[in-house]
Amino acid sequence: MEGLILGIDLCDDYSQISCFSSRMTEPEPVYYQPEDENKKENVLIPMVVCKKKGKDEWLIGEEACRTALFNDGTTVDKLVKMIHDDKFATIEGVRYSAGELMRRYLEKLLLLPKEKYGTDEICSVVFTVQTLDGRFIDCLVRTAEECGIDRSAVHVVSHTESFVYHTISQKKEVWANLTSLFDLTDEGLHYYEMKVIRGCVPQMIEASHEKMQEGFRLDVLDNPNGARLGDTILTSCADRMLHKKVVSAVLLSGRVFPSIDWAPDFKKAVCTRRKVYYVPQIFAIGAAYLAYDALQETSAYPFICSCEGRISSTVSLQAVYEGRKEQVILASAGSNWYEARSSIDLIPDDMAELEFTITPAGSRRVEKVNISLAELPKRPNKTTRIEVIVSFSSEKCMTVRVVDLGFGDLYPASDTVIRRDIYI
Amino acid sequence: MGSLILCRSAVAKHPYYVPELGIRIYSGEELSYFIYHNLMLLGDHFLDERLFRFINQELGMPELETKLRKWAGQADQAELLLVILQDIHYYDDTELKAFRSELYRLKAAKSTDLMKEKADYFFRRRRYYDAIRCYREILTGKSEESGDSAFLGDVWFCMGSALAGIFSFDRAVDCYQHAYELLHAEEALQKIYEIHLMDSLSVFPEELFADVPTETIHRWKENFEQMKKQVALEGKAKEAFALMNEDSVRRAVGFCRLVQDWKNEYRRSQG
Repeated sequence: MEGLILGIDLCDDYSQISCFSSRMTEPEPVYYQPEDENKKENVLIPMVVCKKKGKDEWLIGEEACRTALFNDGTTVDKLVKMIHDDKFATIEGVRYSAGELMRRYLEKLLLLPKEKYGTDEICSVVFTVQTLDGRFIDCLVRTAEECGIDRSAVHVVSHTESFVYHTISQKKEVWANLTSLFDLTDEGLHYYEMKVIRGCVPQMIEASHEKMQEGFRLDVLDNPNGARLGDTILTSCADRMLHKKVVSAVLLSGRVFPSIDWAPDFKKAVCTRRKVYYVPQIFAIGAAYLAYDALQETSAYPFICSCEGRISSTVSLQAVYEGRKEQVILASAGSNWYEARSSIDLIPDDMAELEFTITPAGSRRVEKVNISLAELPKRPNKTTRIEVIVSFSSEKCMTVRVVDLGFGDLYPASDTVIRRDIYI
Repeated sequence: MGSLILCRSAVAKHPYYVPELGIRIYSGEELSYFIYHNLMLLGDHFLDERLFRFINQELGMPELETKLRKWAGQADQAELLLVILQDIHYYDDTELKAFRSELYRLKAAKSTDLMKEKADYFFRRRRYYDAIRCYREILTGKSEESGDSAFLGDVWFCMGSALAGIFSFDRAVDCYQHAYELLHAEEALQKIYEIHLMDSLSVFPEELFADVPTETIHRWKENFEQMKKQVALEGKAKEAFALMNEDSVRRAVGFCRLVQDWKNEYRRSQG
């Protein structure tokens, strides 16, 4: 494989890139300014885009900030939030959509790995973001396509999922029991937790995420009093989240964590009988592992992952195929909800409704959900072909559309579409 | 308890055209349905190159095509039809059993009975000219055997109905008269009377009605009026009337489609 395999973490303050290229076994970070590779901060690329005054020239990151500082251009930041809020920015009298600005940003951002590895080809890219919603993913996928990346090569996952894939790519001792992650950024303090559920076949991993109410700005740590306050806040969060839990490892992420000497109480709280790792770029690396895995015929991760962005239940329907009754799976537990779209053509034989079976991963409890077909035109038995389309608007909400296809020229299709939202 | 049949494949890009019915077949399920319900229509040359190609290229069933090609010259067509239905799995075992019985029944049936069934099939499909041709074949003794009077009476009656279907009322009345002579059924007279109500200029053999009570005539008239009202509310009239509720653009498109359908149906009825 000669092309690039990228994991890109998009946050409102910074973005980070992790890259696999040919002959690499582990992803490596992509720096904004290669000549300053010794400076760790350079893996953080500010999420800022700047248009130079009077020119159609766009800059990103530190360069964009510097240009704005010298009053030589107009900057726009917090692009992720802008997309979520569907906002616009007006620069020199021209109105730019958030998606358009993100495209400008991504075009420049993607030049970094392309220049570093000397190739323009991108085989697979996984974007990881804090919060997923359908419109945001649509916009990001469209933007990536506009940047010349094939749609099928683009995936968008949550930070929680990236954390899981980063962690299970490490030695088993790191994730044998429960693994915790504290991610401290200017946007706040986030706590992630993952555990392996034993006794399930295939093995199941459950992960969750919580944004801590107790956040603080990172610049308060610049003075001793602020650092003490930060330590107190972190310690209280650690005590609360890790209390009475058998934790295999605690991971720390965020630019203030390379050393935690400034937070002695927090250090004591997390390090007692536990291994603690500082993992810069954890989400970008996790995304890069996923990008690599997406290219393989068989996944290297034989797990069902239950977390934000993944469907928690398997949705199936019983149908007769070639004379045999079979359970047809329409969506599998652990699959990405945005990509979990399927459709099948069925012919009801004396059936007035569709009965969906919803089986939560790792549970024996089975739920049945029925959708009536009474709205379909009345025709002789077995002369109505229907297309059942299943898609998701979130990991909890499944949309089922039943489209009347008729029965060829014998019984032409009508415009009837039955649509139901099912919460699973 | 019902079930859901998972369709084998997507619908065909290049459908199989059935000129006799003026329809296109897009899937294996439709092909099965067509065979199952239109046995009478399937001539000896139904299993031809065009069908084999459709099965292979459009339905994606090369194994079935190979099987049919292999046995086409050796096995009976009925057996091969059964093979198609079995391989497509649209019909379950019970339905296939019924189909097999039907095949055996047709195989064992007298040629006049078979011709009558074929004619009735055409009649049900409103292909009146084809139906008349078949009925006439029975009556002119082109078939190997001739039937008894009840059978022949029935054939005359049906041919009368087919002729009425193409508005050939005088000939229809003649057929009903023959039917009455053989069957002595009041229904034949009723039909003649109804034709008279529809077209007062048509032949009306008054002598046949001399013994019919006035109440019966009155009842037929009432039935006819009721039928007239009913047909205004169903079938083609209903279809056309439903379009009146659409907006002007859809209404115009709908009428064009409807008229085209009727024209096609008429052309097919010409045989």
